[in-house]
Amino acid sequence: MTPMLEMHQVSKIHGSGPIEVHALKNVNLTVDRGELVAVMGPSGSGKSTLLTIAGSLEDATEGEVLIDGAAVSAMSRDQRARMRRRSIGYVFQDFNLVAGLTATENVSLPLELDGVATGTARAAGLEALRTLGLADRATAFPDDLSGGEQQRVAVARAIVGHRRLLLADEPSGALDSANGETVMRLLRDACKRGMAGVVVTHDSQLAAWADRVLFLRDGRMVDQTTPPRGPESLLDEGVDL
Amino acid sequence: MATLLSARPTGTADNGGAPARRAIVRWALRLLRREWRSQILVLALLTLAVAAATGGASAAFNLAPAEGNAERGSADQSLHFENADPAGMAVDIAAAEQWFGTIDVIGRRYVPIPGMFEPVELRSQDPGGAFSAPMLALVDGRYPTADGETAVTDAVAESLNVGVGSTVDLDDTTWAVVGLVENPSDLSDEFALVDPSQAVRSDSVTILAAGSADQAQSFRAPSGASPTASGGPGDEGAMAAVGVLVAASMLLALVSLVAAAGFVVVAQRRLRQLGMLAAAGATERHLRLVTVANGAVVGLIAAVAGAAVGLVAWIAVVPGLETAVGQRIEPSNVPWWLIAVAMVLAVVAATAAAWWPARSAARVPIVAALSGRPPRPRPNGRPSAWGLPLVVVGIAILVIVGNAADSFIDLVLIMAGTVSFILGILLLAPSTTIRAATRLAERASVPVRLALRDLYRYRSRSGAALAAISLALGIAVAIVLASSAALYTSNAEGNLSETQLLVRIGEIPSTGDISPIPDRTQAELDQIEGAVNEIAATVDEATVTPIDVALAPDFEGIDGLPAMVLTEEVSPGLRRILSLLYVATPELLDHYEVDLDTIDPSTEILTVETGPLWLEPIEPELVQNPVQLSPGYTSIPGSFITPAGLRDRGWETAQAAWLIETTAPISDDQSAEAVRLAANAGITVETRDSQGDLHALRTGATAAGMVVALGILAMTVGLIRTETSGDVRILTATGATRRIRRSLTAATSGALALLGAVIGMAGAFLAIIAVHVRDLSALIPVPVLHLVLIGVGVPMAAAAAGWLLAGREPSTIARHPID
Repeated sequence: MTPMLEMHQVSKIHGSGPIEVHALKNVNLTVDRGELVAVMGPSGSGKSTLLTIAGSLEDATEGEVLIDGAAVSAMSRDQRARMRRRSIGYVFQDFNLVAGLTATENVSLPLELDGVATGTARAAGLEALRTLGLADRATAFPDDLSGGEQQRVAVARAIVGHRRLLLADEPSGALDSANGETVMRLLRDACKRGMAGVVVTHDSQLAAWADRVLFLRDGRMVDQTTPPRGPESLLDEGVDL
Repeated sequence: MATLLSARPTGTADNGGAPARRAIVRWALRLLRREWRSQILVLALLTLAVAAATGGASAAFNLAPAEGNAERGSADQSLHFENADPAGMAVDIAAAEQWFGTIDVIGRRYVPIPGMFEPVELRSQDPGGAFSAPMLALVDGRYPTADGETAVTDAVAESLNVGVGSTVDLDDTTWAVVGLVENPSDLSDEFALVDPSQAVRSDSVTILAAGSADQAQSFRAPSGASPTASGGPGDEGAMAAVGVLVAASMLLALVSLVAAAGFVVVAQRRLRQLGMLAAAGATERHLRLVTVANGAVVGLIAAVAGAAVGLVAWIAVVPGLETAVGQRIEPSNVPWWLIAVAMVLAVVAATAAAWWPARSAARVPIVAALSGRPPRPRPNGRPSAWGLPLVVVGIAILVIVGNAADSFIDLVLIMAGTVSFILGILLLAPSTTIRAATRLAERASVPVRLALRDLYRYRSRSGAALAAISLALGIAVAIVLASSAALYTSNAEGNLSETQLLVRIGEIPSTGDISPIPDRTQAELDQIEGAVNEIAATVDEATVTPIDVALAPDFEGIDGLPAMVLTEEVSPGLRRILSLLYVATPELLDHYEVDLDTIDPSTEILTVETGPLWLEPIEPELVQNPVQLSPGYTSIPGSFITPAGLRDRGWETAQAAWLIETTAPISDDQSAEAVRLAANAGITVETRDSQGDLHALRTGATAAGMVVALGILAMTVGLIRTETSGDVRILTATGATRRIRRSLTAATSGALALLGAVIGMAGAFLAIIAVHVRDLSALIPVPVLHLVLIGVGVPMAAAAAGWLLAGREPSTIARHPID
């Protein structure tokens, strides 16, 4: 089966001349459906850049990115936008919910942008919120939600509409540990349903939820491990975390 | 969620179609509702422009046709017979009816009233006439229907102390007053209406008819009488309203430039939200739609609010306007289609203004947008390159057309020149001046240096704001300069300068109808001259210039002295009087900057009139090689015969008027006193029209320009300082005091305001000089107070406001400017 995300020899250079910065250097990454990959590394190592390039938010300077087998570099801007609406879900550290829209409207936004009728999109958004236990907050605006609630809404927006690639940049960075683990559990659940996931995190405890952990330093991938007994497996064994 | 994939459209459209647009527009509306305060300035300006268009078009639509309505009613043409012979007149009326078809006949006879200066006009007119409706309305009682019945206007009723039901003796006849009437198109038209059957017994008869000017001019009266024909286009109201609409369109175009600066701020503030939208899959078109929809809705709100405000204001001013202009006005008689066009234009202008900021914001890379920090804008030399040619073309057009818009083409050229000039200045000046100011401030204190460098670094934002500020202040300065120049020029505000009084022996003449010069004895003339000197003594340091007219030799048949006149031919055999022929003196010619001593001795006639001219009322003689004078004040004599010419022809002269000139503007009280003294002496005095209006216009323009400029500054400075909040944090961390922070904001706003004032004033001066290039002396009395208020007051107010507001650190300095 074609991997959901493939990055081949991807490099990213910001600026030029004396202010040139190599954010990524020849990074290779493959993520299959149902797999959750965590990316760790110190500040400035290129974690977020990796994620934005994987999600087509910015272009690689060199190398190739394939999403579900399709080369991103061959797509027009509108095609990339459509791909983001249909295939890619983002979760950001600071939630990035649209302030003027309710929780349901935020979740249904990618569907409405994709031409789904408003009623149908809202129903799907509400269903996604219900799945994440936020049905009673459906009509609240982001300003009226707690941090944990906002991030759960962001997760709902990222998974609604049968997305296939989930990208999360420090999704628990602005949350307390309990909420952080809740969010990680939601991401893990989404991957168990068939999504491919990439999560950038500083927290090794949370990285343990992933199937693989990659380490970046100065834009290079320096190590790759598989957590032997992640929290999920502990939970499966009935250990109270 | 399983239903969603099947519900998702399978088409190839990448933009999500109508559902996506609806979602975007809905969000744009939500954002507008949340952020309406930040757009209040744009909304107010657009509302004001639509209100001005609505009120102005309504006023023009009603007022423009008033003169024609008052004289011709709804007729296209009128034929005027003087000194009509009753028998011949009946034949002529019958012939006219045959020639034109339906006609209306109005007879006039002037009846002297003992003890009254003015005679009473007995007017015979059919109230049910085909063309009479705009000329005659019943106020009370009924119309006269039989001999011996009359209906009078209010002033006649008051003068004769009569009312409905009473009687009055006029012209050896006792008339029963059966009604009160008025001319709704001219409330100062005073008369006593009598039965239409009296028409043929009148001193003069006017025949109203439908038809072309050619048809009217080719009518030949069987009696041999030569009627004066006059006509009008018949759609003066609509034409004037369209003129107002054209002016309003220009205003809206200029407002949209200010609005564009406002929408730049709005788009920048929403940048992070737009980034979120893009990350969720919005295309560039979706992102553009957010700001464009915002602009369209702002335009729609302004259109509705502006039309409502304009209509309410129009209805409110109608009663006062009726009194001021002396005509009845029906408030509901407004040009709805023009108002609708103005509303549509407002929506288009606002949408267009939002387009470019929308495009720019939509093109910001998603990651940069998500960070809330747009990339440093790349300098773009193209707009500046376009600026200079546009300025040159604009100035060239303004110089060529000058300030005399004699035709529609001239008007269009002036508008095109103005728009070209303004666009050129706005493209050229902001980036150039910001760069120059940055260099000049190299040795200034840290806050000033940093403020100016920030303006340069963020010049895409500061340039747009500076353009809008320059425009607001430039328009204000242009109005101030133009209104000031109008006091010293002829054709902007008309008759005389504010330092002149014109005293006449006879009545004030009007074009096409020049009263004869009253024949006075020397004793009477001495007495009048004494009154003139008394009037001159009421104003400061007055000089009195006597004005004589040339008299036609051996001409009889009029009551008074027969003054020579210049006429022009309006059709073969039919000529129209243009002006009296005055005797040239060095003092009078000085107003046209012509030296009498240097004129070619063979020259006889000097005049402001153009085209082939005839001397009358002697046997018409074509004027040979007249010296052309530039147009002057309309009431100052404009056609002259040289003393040598007068001598050669052996013509006599008669004293007609005196021009009193002072060194200081004549006050309203002085004018009133002059009118009182003139009335006592049985002479007339003319003063400058609309002086108060011009002063009010200048002050209003200054205030409006300042408010708009400060409003734009309030929007822009906050944005720039938010973008540079990192610098402020660094400054604070390195020990900068609150005073430094205050200075930084004060310098930013003060510098923007100062540059805007400089560009605006320079542009306005350039434009006004181009318009008055043939008579720069009109610009010499510079309105210092207003210019100081704009040039110094605005920057100081901006700096002071920046200083005071910077004391309270805005929350956006500590946080991202997301919402």
